[in-house]
Amino acid sequence: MIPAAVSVCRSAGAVGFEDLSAAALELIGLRKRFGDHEALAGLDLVVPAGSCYALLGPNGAGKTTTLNILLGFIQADAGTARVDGVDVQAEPARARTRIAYIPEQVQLYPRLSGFENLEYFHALGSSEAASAGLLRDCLQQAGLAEADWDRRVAGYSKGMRQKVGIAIALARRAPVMLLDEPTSGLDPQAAWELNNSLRSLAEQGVTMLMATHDLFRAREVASRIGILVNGRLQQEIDPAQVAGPELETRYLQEVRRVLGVEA
Amino acid sequence: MIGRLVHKELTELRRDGRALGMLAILLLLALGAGLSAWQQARVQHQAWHAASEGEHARWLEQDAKHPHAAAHYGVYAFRPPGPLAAFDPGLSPYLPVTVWMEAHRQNEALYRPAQDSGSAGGFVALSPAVISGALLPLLLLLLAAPMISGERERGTLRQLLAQGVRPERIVLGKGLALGMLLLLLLLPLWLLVFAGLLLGGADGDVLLRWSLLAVAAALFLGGFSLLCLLVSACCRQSRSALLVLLGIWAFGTLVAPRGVMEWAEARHPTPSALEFRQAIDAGLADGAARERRIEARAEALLQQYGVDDLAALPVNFNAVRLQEGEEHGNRVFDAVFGQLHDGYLAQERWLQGAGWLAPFLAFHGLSSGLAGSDLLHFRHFVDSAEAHRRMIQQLMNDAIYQQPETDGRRYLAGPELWATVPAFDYRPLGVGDVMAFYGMGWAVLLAWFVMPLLALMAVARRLAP
Repeated sequence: MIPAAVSVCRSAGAVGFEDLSAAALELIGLRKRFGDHEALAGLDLVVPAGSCYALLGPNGAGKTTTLNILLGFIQADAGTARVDGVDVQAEPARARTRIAYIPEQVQLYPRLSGFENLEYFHALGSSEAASAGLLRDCLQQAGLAEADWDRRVAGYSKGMRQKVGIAIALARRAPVMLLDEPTSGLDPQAAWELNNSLRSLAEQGVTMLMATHDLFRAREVASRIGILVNGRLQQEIDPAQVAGPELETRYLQEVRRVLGVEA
Repeated sequence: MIGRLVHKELTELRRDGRALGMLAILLLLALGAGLSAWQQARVQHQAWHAASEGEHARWLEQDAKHPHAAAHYGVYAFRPPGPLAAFDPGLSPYLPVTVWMEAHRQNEALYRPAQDSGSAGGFVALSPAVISGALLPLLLLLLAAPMISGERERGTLRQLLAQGVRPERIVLGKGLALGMLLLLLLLPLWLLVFAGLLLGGADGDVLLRWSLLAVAAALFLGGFSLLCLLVSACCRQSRSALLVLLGIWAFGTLVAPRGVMEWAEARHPTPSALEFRQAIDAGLADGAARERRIEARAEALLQQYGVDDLAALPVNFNAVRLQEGEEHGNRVFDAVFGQLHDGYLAQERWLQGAGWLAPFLAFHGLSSGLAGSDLLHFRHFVDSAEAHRRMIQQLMNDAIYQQPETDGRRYLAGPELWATVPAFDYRPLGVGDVMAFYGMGWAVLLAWFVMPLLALMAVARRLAP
């Protein structure tokens, strides 16, 4: 019998009280229903500050719903979600100030250049003005070639847009970063570059929660992997302890078990 | 932050070739229509001036004749173009411009300028008022429909909200950008016309009318911009927003005005031309009261001068008969013409009220009212011409009264009498009267601005990605 949802701290800690003071993300008993479909069925998840957590799961597992609740775009039916100690349901605007978000498809304004997009998103989302130099540093750190900074985004590839998205997130200097399928649609080179950027962020102490299908990229960058199926965290894995093929096997077994699908 | 939002919107518009193209076309249309309308109004004004002067000269230069023959000799009154008819010709092309002022009868005004336009009259005249009331909203909806729905569709709204941007600020930024665009487009044109009016010697009334037109346009176009943003904020796709707004525009600009006009005519019917003439003829034919008044005046004069025969009076009793005939006719004309014009104005008020349904009507009414090319001004002209006609009849009859006709001699008047009749110097209605008549139109435009604003504020607070 495989245990039901476990959190990082519960799985890592000894019996007794767990220390949540260093948790950047806490989801406790989170439930959300859309009509007859239960998207989240009491999700418990804690992501310690400075770690990168990859949420793996098939389509409809509840990954995007989880991110939407953390972003304050939808209200949970029950449970609590906290970002950097701020209750998302009670203070969504304040919670958002602690989040940088990179969506699956980074959407930018095509008639503005990459730099102008960064400048615009930053000016709107931050109470502090950033110098042009700082913003250029962010683009550089995100890996966008300097020659592309002042080109209109209409001519960018998906990977280039993704890099601007990362630069926007970097400039925000938020303690928590949420990523929705960050490598989806990227070519291997762009995905590799993205992972490098994420690793660099993790080294800087940014807490990351990444919803993804991409087992192998998740394994490269995450410090913890959770398998989410039917709105419930089914298993947590330390990627350092499993090889890529084994991770895939465990993931498929878990999904088939919960969904009742034959191998 | 708001400044940054507005700057970004304007930068995108500037870089969008289609938007710039549409703006340029509209600007060219506005300039072309303005110049053409100004030229037309100038020609009309010159023609009016020449005709009015010529007509008064004709009156002054007439031969010696009996004053009643002079009253029948008559004179034409010409309606000048409205003070701002170049901006909005309104009903001017379809309203008569001359009135034949003669003894005994208030004639219907004659000659509509549209009669001269031939087959071109079948086309909608592209005046600056039509451009700002019908075409500019079309451009606004094309620009504004995707402003919020497009952000939602592209996913940038989600990213902006995730950045912690307050949704009200996003909407405010879009609204201000649209407002700035309108201001950049219209303010130079408005100032240009204002300077032209000032240099052309326009009086304070005309300048005030032009300023109020700007307020009316700001309320109408501002309200329409807010409605566009409201629809854009409520739609998930920019295409849906565009379709909804096109529907609203077509209904408000093309469908509703026609329907509401027919409704107004049904609600406040006016007599047909035949009924109108029959009513006048019947009124004039019923002369029993007039005869009684003439008899009473005769008795009073005989008593006053101590004579028993009207021919022995030191005054000309025929003048009394003529003046009583005039006054009897005046009462009939006041009733029948009054009923006709009251009906027209009631229809106009109904159209203003129907502006709740189609605010284009409220703007159109106000615009033609302030331009002086509406029914209110037409009625004022007709009433002024009629007052002038009555004044001429009174002067002629007074002159006859002073000249008893004895020994078969008949009084012939000359230039000194003709000179007592001033030229018909028509002054249009004051702006205060226009404002009073169009109170409902102003209320509709104000509500048209405030209601979408309140709805947009409510929607903006709950703006979802």
